[in-house]
Amino acid sequence: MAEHYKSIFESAGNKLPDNACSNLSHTRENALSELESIGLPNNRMEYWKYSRIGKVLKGLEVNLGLADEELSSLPLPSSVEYSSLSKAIADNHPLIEKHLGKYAGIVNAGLTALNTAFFSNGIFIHVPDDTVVEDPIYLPQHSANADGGIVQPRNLIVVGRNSSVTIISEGTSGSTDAMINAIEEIVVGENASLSQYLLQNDEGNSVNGSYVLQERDSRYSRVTTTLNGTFVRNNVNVRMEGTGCESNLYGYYHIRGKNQVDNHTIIEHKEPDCLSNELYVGLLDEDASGIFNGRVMVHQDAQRTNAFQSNKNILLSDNATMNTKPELEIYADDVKCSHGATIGQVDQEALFYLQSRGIPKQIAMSMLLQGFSIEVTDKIVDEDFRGKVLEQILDHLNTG
Amino acid sequence: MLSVKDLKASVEETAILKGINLEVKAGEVHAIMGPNGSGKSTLASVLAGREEYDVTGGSATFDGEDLLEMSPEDRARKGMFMAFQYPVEIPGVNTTNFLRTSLNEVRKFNGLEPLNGADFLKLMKEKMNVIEIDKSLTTRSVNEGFSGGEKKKSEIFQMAILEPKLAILDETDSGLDIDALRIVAEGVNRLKSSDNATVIITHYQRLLDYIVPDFVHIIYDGRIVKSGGKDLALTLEEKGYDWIKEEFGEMTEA
Ligand SMILES: Nc1ncnc2c1ncn2[C@@H]1O[C@H](COP(=O)(O)OP(=O)(O)OP(=O)(O)O)[C@@H](O)[C@H]1O
Ligand SMILES: [Mg+2]
Repeated sequence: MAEHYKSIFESAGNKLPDNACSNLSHTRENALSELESIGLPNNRMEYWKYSRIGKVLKGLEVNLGLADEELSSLPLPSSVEYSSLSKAIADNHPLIEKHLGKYAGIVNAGLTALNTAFFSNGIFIHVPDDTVVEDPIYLPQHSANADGGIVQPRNLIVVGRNSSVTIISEGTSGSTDAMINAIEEIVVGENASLSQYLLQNDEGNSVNGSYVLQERDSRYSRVTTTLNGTFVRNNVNVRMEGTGCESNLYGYYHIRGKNQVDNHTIIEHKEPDCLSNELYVGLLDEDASGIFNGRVMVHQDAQRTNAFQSNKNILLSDNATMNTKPELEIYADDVKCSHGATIGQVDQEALFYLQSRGIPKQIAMSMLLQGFSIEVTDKIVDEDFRGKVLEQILDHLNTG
Repeated sequence: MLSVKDLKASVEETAILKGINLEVKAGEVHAIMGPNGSGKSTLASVLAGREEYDVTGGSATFDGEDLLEMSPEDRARKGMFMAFQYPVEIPGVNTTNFLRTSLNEVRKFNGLEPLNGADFLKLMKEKMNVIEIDKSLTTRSVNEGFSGGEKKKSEIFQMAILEPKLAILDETDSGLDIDALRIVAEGVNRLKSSDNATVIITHYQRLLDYIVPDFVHIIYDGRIVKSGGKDLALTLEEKGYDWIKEEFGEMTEA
């Protein structure tokens, strides 16, 4: 197995976009040696405990194919830079040099290293300073191409100072004999605001790693809805590098069959006076399994931190399972933190109440379960997209 | 309309209803009184179809049909309504949507067209005026964060919208202030007709001053031990339950 990835890397030749002036090739080589030394994840690693990753990766090779990225056809304000990542690299865009590979830590992170070494394409978005983008930007769906294997899409999103934008992505679809290994790096500039909404409603396997860097007084919100996916692992890593930041991570999941959804979040409070807020709620049916792991680190300097976390689950079948674990590491003394996790059943009293008003059990159940998701979906500010998500949630509830 | 015969029910092997007999005819108002824990809410719950109670004997029919065989939703759709003693909070379920779903399910079952959004809002507004309920409550989740009195008013508001044949009001008066009590009572009276009936579970004569019952029953230890006219409630108000306990207490011990 030694030098396995190196030889693939060498054989890749010019399939991997690179350029002369940036230090990208250096970044790739670093990632490659990290990858050679740690390899891909397995279930013996704490970070991948309970995960089905080992099974999913079995027999999958690195896919060097360029994931075709269809750019959003919706009109964008001319101020926003929006292109494929390979083009931004070829153009020697200064932000590539500045940000690409800087936040997605490869140490002890085999899949991130794999992506960094082998990514071939993705999306580059730059919202310049002082720009308010009214309409949301839709990201294209990453799809595993026909060859299968592990596909490496890569996005870089940079939101400039005082700017505000909403970015929507729908699905990372793969097939069951392939896996999407997506990485995105996101910079939310000083006093900027980014809302990101994701809808995962496709079959297939994916690991989605997001690395968010927040500068002073910035606001970041993320709402992830997962309704399908054989294996969906979402790793969200937020680092607050300035004071006065606010970060909101929300998630709703409803899965069945033998599917697995796994939300791992890491929030790092490095500076004083920041707020983080996490709410993940979900339904697990049939033989599905869910994982929530929420790590919050409050560094010594991060006084007056507020950090709240909650994970609520309803098991709809005897075979469904949920593993939930908060991990708080607090090194500052003046902080307000709370966390809570529940795994329960449908409220029978509420069900009876609705039935006693003439509502058939099936519909009553679906109303209650939909009500369960509202706390999260209410956080989607964009009305059109919220409507779409609600519709799919309801569809999913009614096709049980 | 409602005919309950020797109804027995238990929860987790403990007998709570020990043989209830009750006949309610269209146009009548019945009051059920009795000390705490005597089985009043259990009776209401069993009639509404709550599953945690096991019916161990007796029968109950509603318009001649076996009530105990029906699902809770069918009982409601055939015209039965229970105002809960403790209405449950249902976060995430919007009150207006809930009411509309409820009404339209009942209508559908009875062969009526569902009301569209506009017509429903009109109806809701009309009933809101009768019950004098705050409009903002209907935009919130069902009962969530409602005050005790608001919850009770909301039950009667639901009743006003569904216009049931048989309404069982379980201590709807407790928690209501004087004005709310009058409003609720007027609401009930306004809905009264020769086709429907009301069963009022209460501890207080106060409500019965407004809604005058044709019959008053006293439940004690899972049985109706005394029935009478409206004066029986006055006697209770005066004398309390001690004389009932003295008279019937031994019976349970035997
Ligand atoms: N789900 C249950 N589990 C266990 N015991 C129950 C349950 N429901 C009722 N009981 C018991 O049955 C008895 C009758 O209760 P019920 O609520 O019917 O009384 P009630 O007459 O309505 O009293 P109150 O005037 O206080 O409302 C009580 O002793 C109560 O504790
Ligand atoms: Mg009671």
